[in-house]
Amino acid sequence: MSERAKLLKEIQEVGFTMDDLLLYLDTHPLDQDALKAFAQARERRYQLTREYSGRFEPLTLCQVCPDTNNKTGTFTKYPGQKHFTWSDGPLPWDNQGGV
Amino acid sequence: MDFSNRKTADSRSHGASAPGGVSCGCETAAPAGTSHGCETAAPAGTSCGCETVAPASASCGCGQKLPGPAPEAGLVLAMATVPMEPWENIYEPAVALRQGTIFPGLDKPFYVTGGGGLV
Repeated sequence: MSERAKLLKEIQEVGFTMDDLLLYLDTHPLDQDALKAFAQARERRYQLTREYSGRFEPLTLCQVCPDTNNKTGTFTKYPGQKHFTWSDGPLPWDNQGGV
Repeated sequence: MDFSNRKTADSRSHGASAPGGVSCGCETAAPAGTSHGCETAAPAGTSCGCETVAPASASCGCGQKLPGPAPEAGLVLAMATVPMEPWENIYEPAVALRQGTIFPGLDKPFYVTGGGGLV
């Protein structure tokens, strides 16, 4: 598995943890243990997505920053040029997300 | 469980007496999910005339509605008590995604997902 796929998988995993904590916190809004776990997961996911968009394509529109995105020049039509990085990365229907 | 052949013990007021003095109890409302017995021929070859099997909460043709709402056929009503989920130490993210939950207490061996006990 490529570095890109590994990082993406880790983002998905911690994202799932956040989603499940969300369900728990909906019914336990004062649970301090759950709040702590949520803060940890949120911070972890934030750091991972920042790292990801720096090395590869941005995952959200808020992370689009041509100066800092995709330093590895992976899945881009415009290597070496300042460009709109939102269009980088494999298209979903190309089924290369895990590559 | 099939209740369609169960005859209710409740055969109190009999207005429409079948021939021979035997009644099917058609005017007595049956509990939801049970048959009131109309489909069963009365003893000694007599019949009440209600040949149709009455679906739960529908009319059997006697002019009487059975009480409803009724559960699906074969199911009975029940009351459930579900405790609030307590906090517990959660799985690592990779394990949680594989098991479909962050909570070990909710990690049940469901058929559909293959269960996938921890490996």
